[in-house]
Amino acid sequence: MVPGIIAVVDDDEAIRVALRSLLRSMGHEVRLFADAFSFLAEATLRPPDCVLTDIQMPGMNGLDLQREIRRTMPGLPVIVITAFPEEAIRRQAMADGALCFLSKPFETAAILHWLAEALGERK
Amino acid sequence: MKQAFSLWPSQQSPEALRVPRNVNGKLPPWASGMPTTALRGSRHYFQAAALVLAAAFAGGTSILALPGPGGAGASWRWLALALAGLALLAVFMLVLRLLDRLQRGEARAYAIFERAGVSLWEEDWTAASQAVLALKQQGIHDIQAHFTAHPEQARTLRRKVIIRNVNAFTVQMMGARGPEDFIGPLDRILPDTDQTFVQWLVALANGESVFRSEAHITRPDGSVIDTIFMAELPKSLDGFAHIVVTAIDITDYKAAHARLVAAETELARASRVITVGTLTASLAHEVNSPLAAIVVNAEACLRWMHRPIPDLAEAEAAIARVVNDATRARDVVARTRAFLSNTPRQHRHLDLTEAARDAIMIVERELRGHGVSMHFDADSDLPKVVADQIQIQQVLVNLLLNGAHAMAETPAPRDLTLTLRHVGQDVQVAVRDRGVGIAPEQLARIFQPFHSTRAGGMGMGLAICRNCVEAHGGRLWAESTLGEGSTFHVTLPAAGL
Repeated sequence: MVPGIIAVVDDDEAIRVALRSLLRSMGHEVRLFADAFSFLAEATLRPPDCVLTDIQMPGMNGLDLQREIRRTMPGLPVIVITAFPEEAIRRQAMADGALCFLSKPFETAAILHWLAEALGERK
Repeated sequence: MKQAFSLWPSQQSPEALRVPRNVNGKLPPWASGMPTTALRGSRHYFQAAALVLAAAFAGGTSILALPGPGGAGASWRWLALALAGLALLAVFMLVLRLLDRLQRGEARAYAIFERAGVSLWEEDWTAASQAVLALKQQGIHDIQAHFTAHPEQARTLRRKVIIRNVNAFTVQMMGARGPEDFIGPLDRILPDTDQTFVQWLVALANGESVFRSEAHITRPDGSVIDTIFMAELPKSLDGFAHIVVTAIDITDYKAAHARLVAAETELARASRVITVGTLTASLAHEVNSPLAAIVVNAEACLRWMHRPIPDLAEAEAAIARVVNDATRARDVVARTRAFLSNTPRQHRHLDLTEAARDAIMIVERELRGHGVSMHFDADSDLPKVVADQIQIQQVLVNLLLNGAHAMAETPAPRDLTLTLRHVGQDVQVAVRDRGVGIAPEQLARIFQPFHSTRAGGMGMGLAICRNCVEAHGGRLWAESTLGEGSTFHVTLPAAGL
């Protein structure tokens, strides 16, 4: 798999740190963001290759972030992960163009599969 | 107007529902009351007649006894006879007037009875009143407790209450052919599922002046209607031969009220379910987040170790995070448990008598459908308990329905008895059925989750009931004799003062 720059947006520090470790062990560069605003502030300057975002976050939630990304950075793949897997939210995320919708706790194999897909698309 | 007992829902304040007990050993006033028959009003006629008769008799005999002056004896005798005849005539006239008056009074009373725009029943409660009096004279003063313990005696008495007559309105209300459909023993129309007959006996024993009860009665076509019976109770023993009872059909009202109670209970339960649903969702979120971190960290650890040159520092850091995340998940569970054990239950001082009546009302129709005779007796000094009303009510409803189902195969009478007793520091609830009973080896298992003897049953009822009672600091257990029935006991600690 081609290494890339992965942004992780999640208000849960434990998940952020764990994902950073996992993705780095695979050779990716990882950027961590505790909320959507700090991600948007940086991503416009230095866009990542793929975004992993949580849904339930204070301030702007994952669905709104995804729409904002569609508007400002079309073509940036978004993987949505949530601990609150509701069908309505899943449908909304997919309709808004998410690459996939994963619920916590997720199979790491699933993340890796979709990540490969996202980075393959990108190249 | 003192009311002995009523299930009339508008009167459902605890005070109105509490059955007053006359346990002081005094006999009811009617036991020594003066006769109150129609003849009492005409007593002066009898007195006048007796006086005239006595005077005439005295005069007549004294004249007859006197030695006649010479040969005038015969004329004296004639005079005496004439006097006696006059006296007899006067008595005869008085009796005629009395009979006429009685007849006119009776005719008027009958016309009022017959044409009244309300259902009226003339009933003979002599045997019941004598039985109650006999019990009191034997020193049995808690009539309610006595008949709860001996339902068969109440049944016998119910057969001895005789309906003498009903009016035209009753015939129409009951869809009958005529009064003859009702004349006879009360138990023909008052089904065994009726809960109110014993309340009448209690009212009699207490010397109540007015009695009102909600009963259900069987119509000639077999259908059952709910009625309010009301009667002025007599002030003397002889009055029990002619008690006039008013009946009002409240079937529609009761049906509407039952729907209301069911809706309220459902609403309370639904709001609990919503609370539980919200809790479950938040619990899932709280637990799934650290779980996700654990999975990711563990996977990362493996990958760091499986590198061509394993990065042990990274692997160790990942494992340390696993430990942290696991601790966090454990804390979430502990916090949720603490929350669950405090918040959703709404503990307050609860009147179990009231809760039991509510529970009986909720299952009333179902019990009736199973042909169950419900008997209920509560100590009058029952202390309150600190408990969640909905949960305790659910436990009682569950136990009552279990009892009813246990008797589904047994022949009538299907007595289901609920008693509330104050024992030491506890309130003891007992629900006794006369069903098939539970085998000893089954008895230990019925409280296990997913144990069910009923087709379609989840078998969660008794397990949940026991959990709930134990969460209230109480105990729930069962005793049973095969072929005789089972008793489920619940104890709850009485609330401190």
